[in-house]
Amino acid sequence: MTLIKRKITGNRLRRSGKWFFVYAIMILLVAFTALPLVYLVSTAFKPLHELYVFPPKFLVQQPTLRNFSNLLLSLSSSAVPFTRYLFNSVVITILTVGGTIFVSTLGAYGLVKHNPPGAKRLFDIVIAALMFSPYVTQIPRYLVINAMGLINSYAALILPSIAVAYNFFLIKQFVEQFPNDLLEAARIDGAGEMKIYWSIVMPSLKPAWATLLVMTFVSTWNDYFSPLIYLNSQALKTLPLALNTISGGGSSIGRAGAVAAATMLMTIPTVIVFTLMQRKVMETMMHSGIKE
Amino acid sequence: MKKKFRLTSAQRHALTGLVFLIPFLIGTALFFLYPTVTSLLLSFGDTDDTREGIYIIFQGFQNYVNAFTQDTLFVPKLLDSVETMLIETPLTVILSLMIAIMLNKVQGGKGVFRVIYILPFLLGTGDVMSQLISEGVDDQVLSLVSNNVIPREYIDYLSTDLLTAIDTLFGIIVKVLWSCGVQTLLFLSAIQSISPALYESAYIDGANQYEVFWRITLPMVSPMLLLNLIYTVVTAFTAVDNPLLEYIKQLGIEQSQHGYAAAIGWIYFAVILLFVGVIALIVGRYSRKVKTA
Repeated sequence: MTLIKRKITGNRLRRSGKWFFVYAIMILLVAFTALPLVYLVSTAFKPLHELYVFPPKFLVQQPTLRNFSNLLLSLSSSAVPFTRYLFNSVVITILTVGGTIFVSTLGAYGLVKHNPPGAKRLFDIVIAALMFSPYVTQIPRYLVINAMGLINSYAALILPSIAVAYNFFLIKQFVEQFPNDLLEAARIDGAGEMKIYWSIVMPSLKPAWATLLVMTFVSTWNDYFSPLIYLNSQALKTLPLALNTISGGGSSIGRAGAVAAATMLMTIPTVIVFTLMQRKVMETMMHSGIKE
Repeated sequence: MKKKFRLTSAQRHALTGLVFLIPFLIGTALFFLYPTVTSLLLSFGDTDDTREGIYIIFQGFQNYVNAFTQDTLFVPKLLDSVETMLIETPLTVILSLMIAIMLNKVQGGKGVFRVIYILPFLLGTGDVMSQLISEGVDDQVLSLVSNNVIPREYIDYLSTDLLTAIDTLFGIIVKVLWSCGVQTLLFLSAIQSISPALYESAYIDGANQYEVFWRITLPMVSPMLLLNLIYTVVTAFTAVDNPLLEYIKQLGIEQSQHGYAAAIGWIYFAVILLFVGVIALIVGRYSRKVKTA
């Protein structure tokens, strides 16, 4: 027994001797992965002449706050107040995130734990949808939204992003690991189906929908393409579109600095949301994970 | 309950499931199934622009034939996408597995490392990343040559071809590092679900790190390997800077060649399906072999 013990600790020590090496590689890799963020922040503080240096310099040489004051200036000169764009983005993001979490968890729970007829076929459709690029169906989808009379409304951006195959798939993997005994016990105690979903399934799926929350938040908040096609009205535009307007469609040289500043500010909410949710997200991945 | 509606408890149970699925079904039918079927029909013809709504003038396989015989841009762009995928997928999977193994070993600062690894993903899905890539951050900014990482005197000794090759490789690795956050997390979850007793007994039996990796870690994570491979292939094919997707977007939306754009999209889908199928076959066979062994 003592021999085994000594051997195990010996192994641990041998492994711990490599810690320094492992840390060194990790820090090197971190340096690389952090690059986009560093570049983003440093570009926001670059004076105009540094923005157009070729090849681009990675770090700012003479940091300036001018970009931010320029941004404020061009925001105050626009016909629609900036807060309106912010409001649009916030409303669309919250409704999309809430909607997709509700629809995916409810549907995945119904599919896995109630096994309705045709469940397998539906799942095949979901798998196929995972591989399908949205661009291909963009035109027919536009026609559907047009026929529903949703062009130029929040609904045109929210509704298509609620029933998403990927989100459904993610939640389904977690629901599958949920113990049936717990549901049976609740049923015997007389809990209704909706009650079971809301008070038992949802709290246990917290890590799963926290992951979904982060992913959907990031993609909706940053979405540039959908608002571009479905919205014409200036007053309904979201932040990424407004950003593009500020930059003069990417052609105005003088405003490149303001765009860099705005881009940096745009990413702050996503980083905050991730940092707040990260512990829960990691729990998902670690404890239940996606298992076959 | 009325007699007419009397159901067995199993039927009622299944019905509840169906009711819960209704919102998802409606959404999928409206915004995925219907557009998908329409785009398939559209790929065999073109829209009739003289009428309101979708009226398709059928032309048989004309669009598909044109893609390979008339269009000089399509085939190179398709091959380009396949090439990028073939380079990036193995790199992404190997790197993310390596990082996951290291993350699993590191004791302090685990949370910090994890947050940083996922950061590019937070920027990655949006406009920000495509902007960064279009500005050439991945290969230009970090270029060894232009940033004087290697002193000029040494560069002269190396051939320019070699330097360009190193720079390209560097750019690819950086891009891969930025896109492997999700895969790393999935691998990490798989590694952490391996029983520590398995490792302990292997070490007691005198196995070295190398053997432990090939005999324990890799077989145990093989289900996740399949999922990660598929995920990586699909994301590589549908990345923000994919040239073929940009081409489809340009054809379908800017040039209003709806039928042709749909046909190219379906060819692309078939190619993706082919690769995913081959991977599923190979890795599936490996995991089965592991399970029976």
